[in-house]
Amino acid sequence: MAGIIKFGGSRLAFAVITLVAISMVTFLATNVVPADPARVALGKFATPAQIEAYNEQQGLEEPAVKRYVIWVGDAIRGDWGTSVLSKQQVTDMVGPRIGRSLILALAAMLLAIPIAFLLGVYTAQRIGRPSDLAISTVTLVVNSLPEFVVGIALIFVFAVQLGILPIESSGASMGSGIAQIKAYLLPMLTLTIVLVPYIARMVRASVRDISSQPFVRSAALRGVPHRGLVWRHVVPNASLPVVNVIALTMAELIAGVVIIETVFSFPGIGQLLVSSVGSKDIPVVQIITLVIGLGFVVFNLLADLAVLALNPRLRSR
Amino acid sequence: MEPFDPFSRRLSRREALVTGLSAAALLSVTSVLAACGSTGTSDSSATSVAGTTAGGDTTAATKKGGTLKYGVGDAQAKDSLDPALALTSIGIFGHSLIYDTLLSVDSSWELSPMLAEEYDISSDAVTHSFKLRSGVEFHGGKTLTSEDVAEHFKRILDEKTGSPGLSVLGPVMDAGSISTPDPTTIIFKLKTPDAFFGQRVAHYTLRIAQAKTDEWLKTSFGTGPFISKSFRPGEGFEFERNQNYWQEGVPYLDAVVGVGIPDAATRVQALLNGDIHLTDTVPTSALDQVSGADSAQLLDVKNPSPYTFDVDSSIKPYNDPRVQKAMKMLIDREAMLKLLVAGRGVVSADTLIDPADPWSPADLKPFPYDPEQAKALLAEAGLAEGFSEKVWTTTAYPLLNEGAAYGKQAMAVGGIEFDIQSVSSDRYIEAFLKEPIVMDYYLRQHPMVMFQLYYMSSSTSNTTRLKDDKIDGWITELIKTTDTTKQAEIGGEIIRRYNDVAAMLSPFNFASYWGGAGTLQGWTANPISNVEIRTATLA
Repeated sequence: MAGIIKFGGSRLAFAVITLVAISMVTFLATNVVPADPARVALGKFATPAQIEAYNEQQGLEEPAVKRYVIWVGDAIRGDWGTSVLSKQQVTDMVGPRIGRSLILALAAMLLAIPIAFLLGVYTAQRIGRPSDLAISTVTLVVNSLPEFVVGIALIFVFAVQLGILPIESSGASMGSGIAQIKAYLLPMLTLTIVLVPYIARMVRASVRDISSQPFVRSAALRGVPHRGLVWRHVVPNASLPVVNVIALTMAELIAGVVIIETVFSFPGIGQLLVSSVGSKDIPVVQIITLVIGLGFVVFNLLADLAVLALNPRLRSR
Repeated sequence: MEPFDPFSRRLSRREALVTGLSAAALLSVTSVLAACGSTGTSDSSATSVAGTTAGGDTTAATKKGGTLKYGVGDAQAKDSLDPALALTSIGIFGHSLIYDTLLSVDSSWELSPMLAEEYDISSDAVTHSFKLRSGVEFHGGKTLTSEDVAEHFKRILDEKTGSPGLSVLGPVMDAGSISTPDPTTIIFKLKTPDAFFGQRVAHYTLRIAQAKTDEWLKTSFGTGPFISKSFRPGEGFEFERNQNYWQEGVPYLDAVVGVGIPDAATRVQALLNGDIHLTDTVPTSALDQVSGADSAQLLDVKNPSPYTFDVDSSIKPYNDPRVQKAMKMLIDREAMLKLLVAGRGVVSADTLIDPADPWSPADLKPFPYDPEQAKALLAEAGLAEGFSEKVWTTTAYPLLNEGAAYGKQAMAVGGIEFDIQSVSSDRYIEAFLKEPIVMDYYLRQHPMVMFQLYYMSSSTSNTTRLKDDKIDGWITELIKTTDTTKQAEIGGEIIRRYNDVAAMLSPFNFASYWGGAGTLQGWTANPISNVEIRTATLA
């Protein structure tokens, strides 16, 4: 138990330090950009007086350190500020998009993980056989396809040819009921197709590696049935390295699959980040970057805890 | 104050019924017919009204109702429902659905009444009086008064608001110019005469809203034909029909839903597939695809944009008329138009003014493509060996890099080496008014507005930095002139002179097309919002 507390505590402390570092880097990066945010916001023919008024209104004339302290304090209190362009609360802008990106990422992951495990375990048990070669070749080909190619192919089949799903996913925010669900389907399928080969190949390699371990041979010699051997002894152990991969992939997905969001016009966090970077909406960029950093930290932490749960040796230390 | 009718070429409602010439009059016709033919403002999808397609080429029984889905190309986080801050498509087109201006303009820049039913200009063009239409209500139920109009104009004039409308009003007035003698009269006594103030008040930032600066996202504050039900910056909006709209019988649609679709290819495919009914600028590469489809149509919004090389006229060697002329003669405008936009547009003289616009002299031709004479002129200017210049461009806006590449090849014939600097949008914006040559294109505006913004020596937007006393003097005279014949004479002289003395290279004006569903009828082109859909239907 002490081991668990020590392990969890150290991970948590590391997470906090990482977040502080992320906040500093984010603030520095968004405050030393060469562009003049006032001119970008007001257009190429803004007068000096307009620019001055804008800088004063946004507090851009204060020293950077003072602004950082105020910003961090406000962010911790839940006051994420106001978009300099839309005048909307950043929480109102970012919140719904995080929700949508999270739903999309979770749905894709929940679909991809079981399929990837089934494929990975299946092929690991048939190394070198025609079925392994066929599946490995297909996964390799799909794995090497850019996301947007998969997305466009799905659009062509399901939206253009069959006409059963919408071409774009604006319905995720502007639609309701069935339209909202339909808006998620193509991006989710695309992500699933992109994720499955990657995870499946990891599972295949890991299962193959674990299968050659002495404890597996020992269990087989003890007469453990094949199915039990695979799913009770091999797969849990083979999952340990895969869990970290899944956690990092999940964090990346929440960070916004920018290309997927662009291809499908999916109103997620990545799309907002791209738009906000382009228009130098600094408060929005800062918060999104912080949230993405938080996502990475949290999912890494969850991965560590999952590994802890799956690996008895770590628990007993 | 001597009465003056600024709508001199505008028709009265009765006259409009007889002749039906202008787009504004067309609007009146359809609304009157609708009032006669419909059963009121029912949201029934089966009510028949007289529908008119763009250009007035067809009149057929069409069905009232339905929801138009609009694919927005540049939905951005900076989208706002505050008309003072209109910058993006949602501001420029979307706001036209929920707000009204005092006056509106059609594609020929003819004025027609909107919230103001009467408009008088004093003979010295200093005092402008507007009589508001009575009984107009904001979406929240408040009656529109002159105080609301005054408040909106004052917000635009306040630098803290950060409105692009400040550059429209600022040169001629300040907050002290406004008076409201009674609830339906607003008078603007300008700092300087302006016979074209009517054009200014039709600007997209001057759509009248109740002043509620902190609540733009929560409630609808306009008087327009639709009411905002929801609005999400960067994502879209839902507007529904204003049942209490002051203009009887319109709009015909039940609702308009805007959805952000940033990727142009996705937007075009969504239009072809019938997922959306309207989309903003169709990329050049997809024009043939859309025009050839049964499910879609190209909407010519009659807002051609000048495509330019902004050249600094104030520095060597571009202040030498021989060099200016040589550069103009090195460009094969027809070839450039075909290469860059597949010929969809018109070759133009270097004026920024569309050849079809009022005052544009019919006989004004661009400098001919003549590389040999260009080389001779450069030699005469002592530049037979040629010279090198940086040309600033960006990938952030379409076709600028392609134009710069074409310019490089064209100028090389005369020994001028274009050193192309393709940079980020930020660096590109910084290059304006600083670097000698910047690739650019302009939005079409009334010629007088173009003169003041881009021709005047004193303008902060004078992209060629031209300082010409004749042009300045003519503009000053023109702005005071209320006689339309005299306006055309002076305007024509200004355009000719600019073509001759400014280092601007404006080889062509490219046509701008929006995309519409095949079922979309009754829309009209509008120079401010691009597309006007009060009388639009989905057949």
